[in-house]
Amino acid sequence: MASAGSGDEKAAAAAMITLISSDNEKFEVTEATATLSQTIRHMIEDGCTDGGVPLPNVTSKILARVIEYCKKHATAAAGEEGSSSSFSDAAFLEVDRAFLEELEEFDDAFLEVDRATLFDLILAANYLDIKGLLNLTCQKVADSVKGKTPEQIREMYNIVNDLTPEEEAEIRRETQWAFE
Amino acid sequence: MMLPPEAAKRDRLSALPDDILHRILRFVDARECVGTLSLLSRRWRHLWSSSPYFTMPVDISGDEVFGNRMLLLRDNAPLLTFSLHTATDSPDFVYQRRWMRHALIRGLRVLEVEVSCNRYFELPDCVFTCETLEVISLSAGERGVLSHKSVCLPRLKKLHLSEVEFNDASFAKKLSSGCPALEDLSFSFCSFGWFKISSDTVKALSITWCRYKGIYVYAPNTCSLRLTVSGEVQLDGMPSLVSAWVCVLEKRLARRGYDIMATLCNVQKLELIGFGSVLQDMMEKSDNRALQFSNLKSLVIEEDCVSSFYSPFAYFLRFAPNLAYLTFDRWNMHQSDPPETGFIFEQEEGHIKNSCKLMNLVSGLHRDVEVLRIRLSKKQDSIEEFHKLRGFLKEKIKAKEVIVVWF
Repeated sequence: MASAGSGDEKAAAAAMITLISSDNEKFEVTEATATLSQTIRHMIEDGCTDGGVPLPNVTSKILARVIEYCKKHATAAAGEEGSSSSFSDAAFLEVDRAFLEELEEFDDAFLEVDRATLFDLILAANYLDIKGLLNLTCQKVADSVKGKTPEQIREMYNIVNDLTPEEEAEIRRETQWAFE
Repeated sequence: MMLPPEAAKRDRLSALPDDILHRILRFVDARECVGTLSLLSRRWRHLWSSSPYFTMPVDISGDEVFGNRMLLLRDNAPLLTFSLHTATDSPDFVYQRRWMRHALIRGLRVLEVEVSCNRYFELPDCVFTCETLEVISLSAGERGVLSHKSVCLPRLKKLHLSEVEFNDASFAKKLSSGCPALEDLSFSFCSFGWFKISSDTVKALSITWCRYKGIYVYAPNTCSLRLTVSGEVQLDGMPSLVSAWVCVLEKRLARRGYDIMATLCNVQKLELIGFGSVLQDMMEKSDNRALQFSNLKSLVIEEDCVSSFYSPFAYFLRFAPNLAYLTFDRWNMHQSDPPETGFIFEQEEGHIKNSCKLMNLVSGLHRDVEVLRIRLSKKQDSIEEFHKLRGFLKEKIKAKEVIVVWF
């Protein structure tokens, strides 16, 4: 790999990482995209990504979506951080208002998924340590319970109420202050 | 035959680990976390009280009693992030400061405070001597003040201050020596007289829309710089600089302008706003003092002054051999006026020789640029100018993408 001068830079700019899903599907992504995941960033820093990065907790269906998110956000992140390690050609696009709006629209559309996929994305974002995606998906769950009664939330998420009526009454007494 | 439990009937929410549920709770109103979510099931009963996040949004009424109870009834779990948004009536922020002190002695790492009322606000002294803090973010309304006696923040990585007045000149020195791990430093809409920033560790530095007489910056490891020039500025060398955004509001800058540009000449990505006279000064240096921008890949120039418009264009084509993305924008200037700062963008007049016009570009244009964007302003540019330029560029430039827009 080691060659002098600008050759090195070109090699770094084009560095590709192979991600391998739990069902053994391979995804080629740029380093700038992959390093949105802190987990993968650390693996790259430790030099253990040759031969691909196995991700036994993430299916190909979910990994494809996660990569879609990272590709879109890698541009923005590189622009903001300005760190040389995550610089790619795409990073030189103007990060202006229009782009941020586009990013927001992308996020909204990205979250149009069923509940099962949403939970898979949360777990994948947690495992891969992609903070932006984790916050985005957690916010989506939070928004869905806002203003709802306990019964409505239980029904929405199949939560079994294992509290006895006495316990429930006790919690209501204990937390009455929240509404004072 | 064994079948997996029907997917639709599983409770995947409650099955999430605590730290993810805490993250979700963070986005839910604190009253709902305590009063509603704790009633869902046993799993949920104590979740709010073990959360490492304490968030007090602005619109809670009776927030003093509520916040006191939230903190009092918490588990003995670590409190890592404290976020407070206040528009209080309480004149001295008495109980908010009490909450902060409470949090700071419990291993707090992130302190975020936003004040949106016009009251004198000062962080408690103990904020600046907290050994565990990694992030401080303060947006202090219009009357925040910093003048703390001592600063010792051994783990602080990120310090973002907005709308803060430094009424003690020695505080800058205390910050510099008291934050040995600082990487990300940002001041916006702040006010200081003379200010000296000195840090070997800072990588991201931002000083925007501040009022100051003069700043001196020694931060040799800066990778990313954002700077609004509204007074004297002296930048020491930044050899690692990758991206820079610099906006000039100070007209009498020309003398120092060359020095600022010299600090910036290693960057890959550069945005210059209001640089008319600085660029002119830079370009008037004889060739042996011409600045080379050999790493520069992407350049944005937002300029209000028509006569200075084409010559920088030619200059950078000549002295930035790797330039691939080039944007000249006369439109954004009018869009990016900061609100309520009192700064006025004034048009430069008479400084620039009229000879630096379109035809001077010809020599520079043999170079290939990948993307070229030009936006002219309807306010000042004539439609003839626009047509002439567009025709000229379409003919001469072999860019992959050429956009010339007349707004």
